[in-house]
Amino acid sequence: MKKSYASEVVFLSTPEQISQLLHLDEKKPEPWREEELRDMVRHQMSASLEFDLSSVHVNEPESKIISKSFIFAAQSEMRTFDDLFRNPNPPVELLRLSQRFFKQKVKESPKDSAEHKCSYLFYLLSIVVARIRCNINICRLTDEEQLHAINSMMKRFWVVDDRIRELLGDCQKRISKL
Amino acid sequence: MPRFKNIPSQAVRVPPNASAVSDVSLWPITVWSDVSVAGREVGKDAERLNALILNYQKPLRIFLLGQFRAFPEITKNADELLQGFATDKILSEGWLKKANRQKGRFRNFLRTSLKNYVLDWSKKARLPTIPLGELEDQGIEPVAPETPSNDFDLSWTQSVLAETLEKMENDCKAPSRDQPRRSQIWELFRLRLLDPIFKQTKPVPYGKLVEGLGLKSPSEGTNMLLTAKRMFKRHLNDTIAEYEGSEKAAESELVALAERISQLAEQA
Repeated sequence: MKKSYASEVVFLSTPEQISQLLHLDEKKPEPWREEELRDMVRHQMSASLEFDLSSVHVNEPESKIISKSFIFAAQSEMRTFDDLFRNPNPPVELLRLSQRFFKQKVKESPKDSAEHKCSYLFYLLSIVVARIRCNINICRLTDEEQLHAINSMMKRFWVVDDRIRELLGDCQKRISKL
Repeated sequence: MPRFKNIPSQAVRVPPNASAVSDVSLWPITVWSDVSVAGREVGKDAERLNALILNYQKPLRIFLLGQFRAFPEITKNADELLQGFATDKILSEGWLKKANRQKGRFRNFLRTSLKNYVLDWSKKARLPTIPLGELEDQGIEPVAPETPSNDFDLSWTQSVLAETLEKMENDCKAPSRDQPRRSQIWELFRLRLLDPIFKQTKPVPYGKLVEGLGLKSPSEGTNMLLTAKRMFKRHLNDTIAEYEGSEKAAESELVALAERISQLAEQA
Protein backbone atom coordinates (compact mmCIF):
# COMPACT_ATOMS: atom_id res chain seq x y z
CA MET A 1 0.00 0.00 0.00
CA LYS A 2 1.39 3.39 -0.98
CA LYS A 3 2.39 5.45 2.03
CA SER A 4 0.76 8.84 2.35
CA TYR A 5 2.98 11.87 2.33
CA ALA A 6 2.19 12.47 5.97
CA SER A 7 3.16 9.01 7.18
CA GLU A 8 6.32 9.17 5.10
CA VAL A 9 7.74 12.40 6.43
CA VAL A 10 5.90 13.81 9.42
CA PHE A 11 6.87 11.18 11.98
CA LEU A 12 10.54 11.75 11.18
CA SER A 13 10.27 15.51 11.53
CA THR A 14 12.10 17.69 14.02
CA PRO A 15 10.56 20.37 16.25
CA GLU A 16 12.12 23.03 13.99
CA GLN A 17 10.40 21.62 10.93
CA ILE A 18 7.06 21.28 12.68
CA SER A 19 7.36 24.80 14.00
CA GLN A 20 7.73 26.18 10.47
CA LEU A 21 4.52 24.51 9.41
CA LEU A 22 2.55 25.51 12.49
CA HIS A 23 3.59 29.13 11.95
CA LEU A 24 2.49 29.14 8.32
CA ASP A 25 0.96 32.52 7.63
CA GLU A 26 -1.27 32.99 4.60
CA LYS A 27 -0.53 36.71 4.68
CA LYS A 28 3.22 36.26 4.50
CA PRO A 29 4.61 36.60 0.95
CA GLU A 30 6.41 33.76 -0.71
CA PRO A 31 10.19 34.25 -0.79
CA TRP A 32 10.46 34.10 -4.56
CA ARG A 33 14.03 34.38 -5.79
CA GLU A 34 15.27 37.08 -8.17
CA GLU A 35 15.29 34.91 -11.26
CA GLU A 36 11.78 33.79 -10.38
CA LEU A 37 10.49 37.35 -10.59
CA ARG A 38 11.75 37.53 -14.18
CA ASP A 39 9.96 34.23 -14.89
CA MET A 40 6.82 35.65 -13.33
CA VAL A 41 6.94 38.72 -15.57
CA ARG A 42 7.50 36.53 -18.60
CA HIS A 43 4.59 34.33 -17.56
CA GLN A 44 2.30 37.32 -17.08
CA MET A 45 3.15 38.63 -20.54
CA SER A 46 2.10 35.31 -22.06
CA ALA A 47 -0.98 34.93 -19.84
CA SER A 48 -4.42 34.90 -21.41
CA LEU A 49 -6.23 38.27 -21.32
CA GLU A 50 -9.57 36.57 -20.84
CA PHE A 51 -8.40 34.33 -18.01
CA ASP A 52 -7.19 37.22 -15.87
CA LEU A 53 -9.40 40.12 -16.94
CA SER A 54 -12.68 38.20 -16.78
CA SER A 55 -12.24 38.11 -13.01
CA VAL A 56 -12.61 41.91 -12.72
CA HIS A 57 -16.01 42.90 -11.38
CA VAL A 58 -17.81 45.19 -13.82
CA ASN A 59 -21.29 46.71 -13.86
CA GLU A 60 -23.90 45.97 -16.53
CA PRO A 61 -23.19 48.87 -18.95
CA GLU A 62 -19.44 48.25 -18.70
CA SER A 63 -19.85 44.55 -19.30
CA LYS A 64 -21.40 45.11 -22.77
CA ILE A 65 -18.56 47.40 -23.84
CA ILE A 66 -15.94 45.03 -22.49
CA SER A 67 -17.52 42.01 -24.19
CA LYS A 68 -17.28 43.84 -27.49
CA SER A 69 -13.65 44.70 -26.75
CA PHE A 70 -12.87 41.04 -26.06
CA ILE A 71 -14.47 40.04 -29.36
CA PHE A 72 -12.48 42.69 -31.22
CA ALA A 73 -9.30 41.56 -29.46
CA ALA A 74 -9.88 37.91 -30.36
CA GLN A 75 -10.55 38.84 -33.98
CA SER A 76 -7.34 40.88 -34.05
CA GLU A 77 -5.47 37.95 -32.48
CA MET A 78 -4.89 39.76 -29.23
CA ARG A 79 -5.05 36.87 -26.79
CA THR A 80 -2.28 37.60 -24.31
CA PHE A 81 -1.01 40.69 -22.50
CA ASP A 82 1.97 40.66 -24.81
CA ASP A 83 -0.39 40.78 -27.81
CA LEU A 84 -2.38 43.61 -26.21
CA PHE A 85 0.65 45.74 -25.37
CA ARG A 86 2.33 45.29 -28.75
CA ASN A 87 -0.74 45.88 -30.87
CA PRO A 88 -0.67 49.29 -32.59
CA ASN A 89 -4.44 49.73 -31.91
CA PRO A 90 -5.24 48.14 -28.58
CA PRO A 91 -8.82 48.59 -27.30
CA VAL A 92 -8.57 51.26 -24.63
CA GLU A 93 -11.35 49.55 -22.63
CA LEU A 94 -9.16 46.45 -22.27
CA LEU A 95 -6.25 48.62 -21.19
CA ARG A 96 -8.47 50.22 -18.55
CA LEU A 97 -9.63 46.78 -17.46
CA SER A 98 -6.03 45.62 -17.31
CA GLN A 99 -5.14 48.66 -15.20
CA ARG A 100 -7.99 47.86 -12.78
CA PHE A 101 -7.04 44.20 -12.58
CA PHE A 102 -3.43 44.89 -11.69
CA LYS A 103 -4.28 47.74 -9.37
CA GLN A 104 -6.45 45.30 -7.42
CA LYS A 105 -3.63 42.76 -7.39
CA VAL A 106 -1.24 45.38 -6.03
CA LYS A 107 -3.67 46.11 -3.18
CA GLU A 108 -4.18 42.43 -2.39
CA SER A 109 -0.54 41.41 -2.41
CA PRO A 110 1.76 41.81 0.57
CA LYS A 111 4.02 44.78 0.05
CA ASP A 112 7.41 43.96 -1.50
CA SER A 113 6.23 40.50 -2.47
CA ALA A 114 6.99 39.27 -5.98
CA GLU A 115 3.27 39.38 -6.80
CA HIS A 116 3.14 43.00 -5.66
CA LYS A 117 6.11 44.00 -7.81
CA CYS A 118 4.95 42.12 -10.90
CA SER A 119 1.41 43.49 -10.61
CA TYR A 120 2.67 47.05 -10.21
CA LEU A 121 4.76 46.71 -13.37
CA PHE A 122 1.75 45.56 -15.38
CA TYR A 123 -0.45 48.26 -13.85
CA LEU A 124 2.09 50.77 -15.10
CA LEU A 125 2.39 49.10 -18.50
CA SER A 126 -1.38 49.38 -18.99
CA ILE A 127 -1.12 53.15 -18.43
CA VAL A 128 2.00 53.45 -20.59
CA VAL A 129 0.48 51.61 -23.56
CA ALA A 130 -2.71 53.68 -23.37
CA ARG A 131 -0.58 56.81 -23.57
CA ILE A 132 1.67 55.79 -26.43
CA ARG A 133 -0.81 53.80 -28.56
CA CYS A 134 -4.10 55.56 -27.85
CA ASN A 135 -2.80 58.92 -26.70
CA ILE A 136 -5.04 58.69 -23.67
CA ASN A 137 -4.11 59.11 -20.03
CA ILE A 138 -6.17 56.47 -18.20
CA CYS A 139 -5.00 57.25 -14.71
CA ARG A 140 -4.95 60.12 -12.23
CA LEU A 141 -1.20 60.10 -11.74
CA THR A 142 0.45 63.33 -12.87
CA ASP A 143 3.05 63.30 -15.64
CA GLU A 144 5.74 63.75 -13.03
CA GLU A 145 4.47 60.81 -11.01
CA GLN A 146 4.23 58.61 -14.09
CA LEU A 147 7.76 59.56 -15.15
CA HIS A 148 9.04 58.83 -11.68
CA ALA A 149 7.36 55.40 -11.72
CA ILE A 150 8.77 54.58 -15.16
CA ASN A 151 12.29 55.66 -14.19
CA SER A 152 12.05 53.52 -11.08
CA MET A 153 10.93 50.44 -13.04
CA MET A 154 13.68 50.86 -15.62
CA LYS A 155 16.23 50.47 -12.83
CA ARG A 156 14.83 47.15 -11.60
CA PHE A 157 17.16 44.21 -12.33
CA TRP A 158 14.16 42.00 -13.09
CA VAL A 159 12.75 44.30 -15.77
CA VAL A 160 14.91 42.80 -18.50
CA ASP A 161 12.32 42.00 -21.18
CA ASP A 162 13.20 44.08 -24.25
CA ARG A 163 9.55 44.57 -25.19
CA ILE A 164 8.75 45.98 -21.76
CA ARG A 165 11.81 48.22 -21.62
CA GLU A 166 10.98 49.56 -25.08
CA LEU A 167 7.43 50.46 -24.02
CA LEU A 168 8.62 52.15 -20.85
CA GLY A 169 11.38 53.97 -22.76
CA ASP A 170 8.95 55.27 -25.40
CA CYS A 171 6.61 56.63 -22.76
CA GLN A 172 9.53 58.13 -20.85
CA LYS A 173 10.55 60.09 -23.96
CA ARG A 174 6.98 61.14 -24.71
CA ILE A 175 6.40 62.53 -21.21
CA SER A 176 9.82 64.18 -21.06
CA LYS A 177 9.06 66.12 -24.26
CA LEU A 178 5.90 67.62 -22.78
CA MET B 1 -5.06 -8.75 31.92
CA PRO B 2 -1.89 -10.93 32.17
CA ARG B 3 -0.65 -11.86 35.64
CA PHE B 4 2.89 -10.95 36.54
CA LYS B 5 5.66 -13.25 37.44
CA ASN B 6 7.67 -12.32 40.50
CA ILE B 7 10.37 -9.88 39.54
CA PRO B 8 13.63 -9.30 41.35
CA SER B 9 13.50 -6.77 44.18
CA GLN B 10 16.05 -4.65 42.39
CA ALA B 11 14.52 -3.00 39.35
CA VAL B 12 16.26 -3.87 36.14
CA ARG B 13 18.10 -0.93 34.75
CA VAL B 14 17.01 -0.08 31.25
CA PRO B 15 19.88 1.20 29.09
CA PRO B 16 19.54 4.98 28.77
CA ASN B 17 19.08 4.74 25.04
CA ALA B 18 16.49 7.33 24.12
CA SER B 19 16.08 5.96 20.63
CA ALA B 20 14.91 2.63 22.00
CA VAL B 21 12.12 4.43 23.82
CA SER B 22 11.07 6.59 20.90
CA ASP B 23 11.52 4.02 18.16
CA VAL B 24 8.02 2.66 17.91
CA SER B 25 9.04 0.27 15.16
CA LEU B 26 10.50 -1.95 17.90
CA TRP B 27 7.00 -2.42 19.26
CA PRO B 28 4.12 -4.16 17.54
CA ILE B 29 1.24 -1.93 16.56
CA THR B 30 -1.89 -2.74 18.51
CA VAL B 31 -4.82 -4.20 16.63
CA TRP B 32 -7.71 -1.92 17.43
CA SER B 33 -10.55 -3.92 15.94
CA ASP B 34 -11.86 -5.03 19.32
CA VAL B 35 -11.50 -1.43 20.50
CA SER B 36 -13.75 -0.44 17.62
CA VAL B 37 -16.34 -3.00 18.71
CA ALA B 38 -16.28 -1.64 22.24
CA GLY B 39 -16.47 1.86 20.87
CA ARG B 40 -19.62 1.17 18.92
CA GLU B 41 -21.35 0.18 22.15
CA VAL B 42 -20.61 3.57 23.68
CA GLY B 43 -22.93 5.54 21.49
CA LYS B 44 -22.75 8.60 19.33
CA ASP B 45 -19.21 9.56 20.31
CA ALA B 46 -17.80 6.18 19.31
CA GLU B 47 -16.53 7.23 15.92
CA ARG B 48 -14.81 10.28 17.32
CA LEU B 49 -13.31 8.29 20.17
CA ASN B 50 -12.12 5.60 17.84
CA ALA B 51 -10.47 8.16 15.58
CA LEU B 52 -8.87 9.72 18.60
CA ILE B 53 -7.43 6.39 19.75
CA LEU B 54 -6.17 5.50 16.29
CA ASN B 55 -4.60 8.86 15.63
CA TYR B 56 -2.92 9.31 18.97
CA GLN B 57 -1.83 5.80 19.87
CA LYS B 58 1.70 6.68 18.85
CA PRO B 59 2.27 9.53 21.31
CA LEU B 60 0.50 7.57 24.04
CA ARG B 61 2.81 4.61 23.46
CA ILE B 62 5.83 6.86 23.45
CA PHE B 63 4.70 8.43 26.68
CA LEU B 64 4.10 5.07 28.33
CA LEU B 65 7.43 3.64 27.26
CA GLY B 66 9.25 6.78 28.35
CA GLN B 67 7.47 7.29 31.66
CA PHE B 68 7.92 3.69 32.75
CA ARG B 69 11.17 2.87 31.03
CA ALA B 70 12.70 1.63 34.30
CA PHE B 71 9.95 -1.00 34.64
CA PRO B 72 10.23 -3.67 31.96
CA GLU B 73 7.16 -5.52 33.30
CA ILE B 74 5.20 -2.46 32.26
CA THR B 75 6.94 -1.69 28.98
CA LYS B 76 6.72 -5.26 27.71
CA ASN B 77 2.96 -5.10 28.25
CA ALA B 78 2.63 -1.69 26.56
CA ASP B 79 0.22 -2.86 23.88
CA GLU B 80 -2.11 -4.62 26.28
CA LEU B 81 -2.01 -1.63 28.61
CA LEU B 82 -2.88 0.79 25.83
CA GLN B 83 -5.66 -1.44 24.63
CA GLY B 84 -6.95 -1.77 28.17
CA PHE B 85 -6.73 1.97 28.66
CA ALA B 86 -8.75 2.49 25.51
CA THR B 87 -11.51 0.04 26.43
CA ASP B 88 -11.58 0.63 30.21
CA LYS B 89 -11.16 4.39 30.13
CA ILE B 90 -11.48 6.24 26.83
CA LEU B 91 -14.45 4.21 25.65
CA SER B 92 -16.13 4.01 29.02
CA GLU B 93 -19.24 6.07 29.44
CA GLY B 94 -18.63 9.45 30.95
CA TRP B 95 -14.85 9.38 30.71
CA LEU B 96 -14.73 12.19 28.17
CA LYS B 97 -16.84 14.36 30.43
CA LYS B 98 -14.15 14.23 33.09
CA ALA B 99 -11.83 16.17 30.82
CA ASN B 100 -12.16 19.58 32.41
CA ARG B 101 -10.85 22.22 30.08
CA GLN B 102 -10.58 24.69 32.91
CA LYS B 103 -7.95 22.45 34.45
CA GLY B 104 -5.76 21.98 31.42
CA ARG B 105 -5.21 20.58 27.97
CA PHE B 106 -6.97 17.45 26.78
CA ARG B 107 -3.72 15.78 25.76
CA ASN B 108 -2.37 16.32 29.29
CA PHE B 109 -5.57 14.85 30.70
CA LEU B 110 -5.08 11.84 28.42
CA ARG B 111 -1.49 11.46 29.51
CA THR B 112 -2.27 11.76 33.23
CA SER B 113 -5.16 9.37 32.87
CA LEU B 114 -2.93 6.81 31.17
CA LYS B 115 -0.25 7.22 33.84
CA ASN B 116 -2.80 6.68 36.62
CA TYR B 117 -4.25 3.70 34.77
CA VAL B 118 -0.83 2.09 34.51
CA LEU B 119 -0.04 2.81 38.16
CA ASP B 120 -3.36 1.25 39.23
CA TRP B 121 -2.66 -1.73 37.07
CA SER B 122 0.84 -2.18 38.47
CA LYS B 123 -0.56 -2.08 42.03
CA LYS B 124 -3.13 -4.74 41.19
CA ALA B 125 -0.43 -6.79 39.54
CA ARG B 126 1.58 -6.30 42.71
CA LEU B 127 4.63 -4.89 40.98
CA PRO B 128 7.16 -3.69 43.51
CA THR B 129 7.16 0.10 43.84
CA ILE B 130 10.59 1.43 44.43
CA PRO B 131 10.89 4.87 46.01
CA LEU B 132 13.06 7.37 44.20
CA GLY B 133 15.58 7.47 47.06
CA GLU B 134 16.22 3.74 46.79
CA LEU B 135 16.63 4.02 43.03
CA GLU B 136 19.33 6.63 43.53
CA ASP B 137 21.07 4.51 46.21
CA GLN B 138 21.21 1.67 43.78
CA GLY B 139 22.73 3.95 41.15
CA ILE B 140 19.62 3.84 39.01
CA GLU B 141 18.72 7.21 37.61
CA PRO B 142 15.01 7.95 37.65
CA VAL B 143 13.43 9.07 34.41
CA ALA B 144 14.04 12.77 33.88
CA PRO B 145 10.57 14.38 34.13
CA GLU B 146 11.09 16.46 31.01
CA THR B 147 12.00 13.60 28.69
CA PRO B 148 8.66 11.76 28.56
CA SER B 149 6.86 15.10 28.29
CA ASN B 150 9.08 16.29 25.42
CA ASP B 151 8.70 13.01 23.54
CA PHE B 152 4.97 12.94 24.15
CA ASP B 153 4.38 16.55 23.06
CA LEU B 154 6.48 16.13 19.93
CA SER B 155 4.80 12.86 19.02
CA TRP B 156 1.37 14.28 19.75
CA THR B 157 1.98 17.25 17.47
CA GLN B 158 3.39 14.98 14.77
CA SER B 159 0.20 12.93 14.97
CA VAL B 160 -1.93 16.06 14.67
CA LEU B 161 0.04 17.22 11.64
CA ALA B 162 0.00 13.79 10.00
CA GLU B 163 -3.77 13.63 10.38
CA THR B 164 -4.12 17.19 9.04
CA LEU B 165 -1.99 16.59 5.97
CA GLU B 166 -3.71 13.30 5.19
CA LYS B 167 -7.09 15.00 5.34
CA MET B 168 -5.88 17.85 3.15
CA GLU B 169 -4.33 15.52 0.59
CA ASN B 170 -7.48 13.39 0.44
CA ASP B 171 -9.61 16.53 0.18
CA CYS B 172 -7.56 17.81 -2.77
CA LYS B 173 -7.53 14.47 -4.54
CA ALA B 174 -11.16 13.51 -3.93
CA PRO B 175 -12.65 12.61 -7.32
CA SER B 176 -16.05 13.93 -6.31
CA ARG B 177 -14.77 17.49 -6.10
CA ASP B 178 -15.93 19.87 -8.84
CA GLN B 179 -12.82 21.94 -9.04
CA PRO B 180 -10.55 20.35 -11.64
CA ARG B 181 -7.47 22.11 -10.35
CA ARG B 182 -7.85 20.90 -6.79
CA SER B 183 -5.23 18.16 -7.01
CA GLN B 184 -2.77 20.75 -8.28
CA ILE B 185 -3.35 22.73 -5.10
CA TRP B 186 -1.89 19.83 -3.10
CA GLU B 187 1.04 19.48 -5.54
CA LEU B 188 1.85 23.20 -5.34
CA PHE B 189 1.66 23.10 -1.54
CA ARG B 190 3.90 20.05 -1.43
CA LEU B 191 6.48 21.31 -3.92
CA ARG B 192 6.66 24.85 -2.66
CA LEU B 193 6.21 24.43 1.11
CA LEU B 194 6.18 20.88 2.47
CA ASP B 195 9.17 19.37 0.65
CA PRO B 196 11.46 22.32 1.45
CA ILE B 197 10.48 22.00 5.13
CA PHE B 198 10.48 18.23 5.57
CA LYS B 199 12.81 16.99 2.85
CA GLN B 200 15.17 19.99 2.81
CA THR B 201 14.70 20.36 -0.92
CA LYS B 202 14.94 23.70 -2.68
CA PRO B 203 11.52 25.08 -3.57
CA VAL B 204 10.66 24.13 -7.14
CA PRO B 205 11.38 27.23 -9.24
CA TYR B 206 8.49 29.33 -10.50
CA GLY B 207 9.17 28.49 -14.16
CA LYS B 208 9.03 24.75 -13.50
CA LEU B 209 5.82 25.13 -11.49
CA VAL B 210 4.19 26.92 -14.42
CA GLU B 211 5.22 24.14 -16.76
CA GLY B 212 4.49 21.22 -14.45
CA LEU B 213 1.15 22.42 -13.16
CA GLY B 214 -0.03 24.25 -16.27
CA LEU B 215 -0.56 27.53 -14.43
CA LYS B 216 -2.38 29.98 -16.67
CA SER B 217 -1.09 33.15 -15.02
CA PRO B 218 0.82 34.32 -11.92
CA SER B 219 -2.48 35.16 -10.26
CA GLU B 220 -3.60 31.57 -10.64
CA GLY B 221 -0.43 30.35 -8.92
CA THR B 222 -0.76 32.91 -6.15
CA ASN B 223 -4.43 32.10 -5.58
CA MET B 224 -3.75 28.37 -5.52
CA LEU B 225 -1.00 28.73 -2.95
CA LEU B 226 -3.17 30.95 -0.81
CA THR B 227 -6.01 28.43 -1.09
CA ALA B 228 -3.59 25.69 -0.07
CA LYS B 229 -2.51 27.54 3.04
CA ARG B 230 -6.11 28.25 4.01
CA MET B 231 -7.07 24.61 3.47
CA PHE B 232 -4.18 23.52 5.64
CA LYS B 233 -5.25 25.88 8.43
CA ARG B 234 -8.84 24.73 8.20
CA HIS B 235 -7.94 21.06 8.37
CA LEU B 236 -5.53 21.74 11.22
CA ASN B 237 -8.25 23.49 13.22
CA ASP B 238 -10.72 20.71 12.44
CA THR B 239 -8.26 18.01 13.52
CA ILE B 240 -7.60 19.70 16.82
CA ALA B 241 -11.30 20.47 17.34
CA GLU B 242 -11.99 16.73 17.06
CA TYR B 243 -10.26 16.11 20.37
CA GLU B 244 -10.71 19.51 21.98
CA GLY B 245 -14.42 19.53 21.32
CA SER B 246 -14.90 23.08 20.09
CA GLU B 247 -13.38 25.62 17.69
CA LYS B 248 -12.55 28.01 20.46
CA ALA B 249 -10.72 25.34 22.44
CA ALA B 250 -8.97 24.29 19.23
CA GLU B 251 -7.65 27.81 18.64
CA SER B 252 -6.20 27.91 22.14
CA GLU B 253 -4.71 24.43 21.78
CA LEU B 254 -3.08 25.37 18.47
CA VAL B 255 -1.38 28.34 20.12
CA ALA B 256 -0.22 26.11 22.97
CA LEU B 257 1.12 23.44 20.61
CA ALA B 258 2.98 26.01 18.53
CA GLU B 259 4.55 27.51 21.66
CA ARG B 260 5.51 24.11 23.02
CA ILE B 261 7.09 23.04 19.74
CA SER B 262 9.00 26.34 19.55
CA GLN B 263 10.38 25.60 23.04
CA LEU B 264 11.43 22.12 21.96
CA ALA B 265 13.05 23.58 18.84
CA GLU B 266 15.07 25.98 21.00
CA GLN B 267 16.19 23.19 23.31
CA ALA B 268 17.42 21.05 20.41
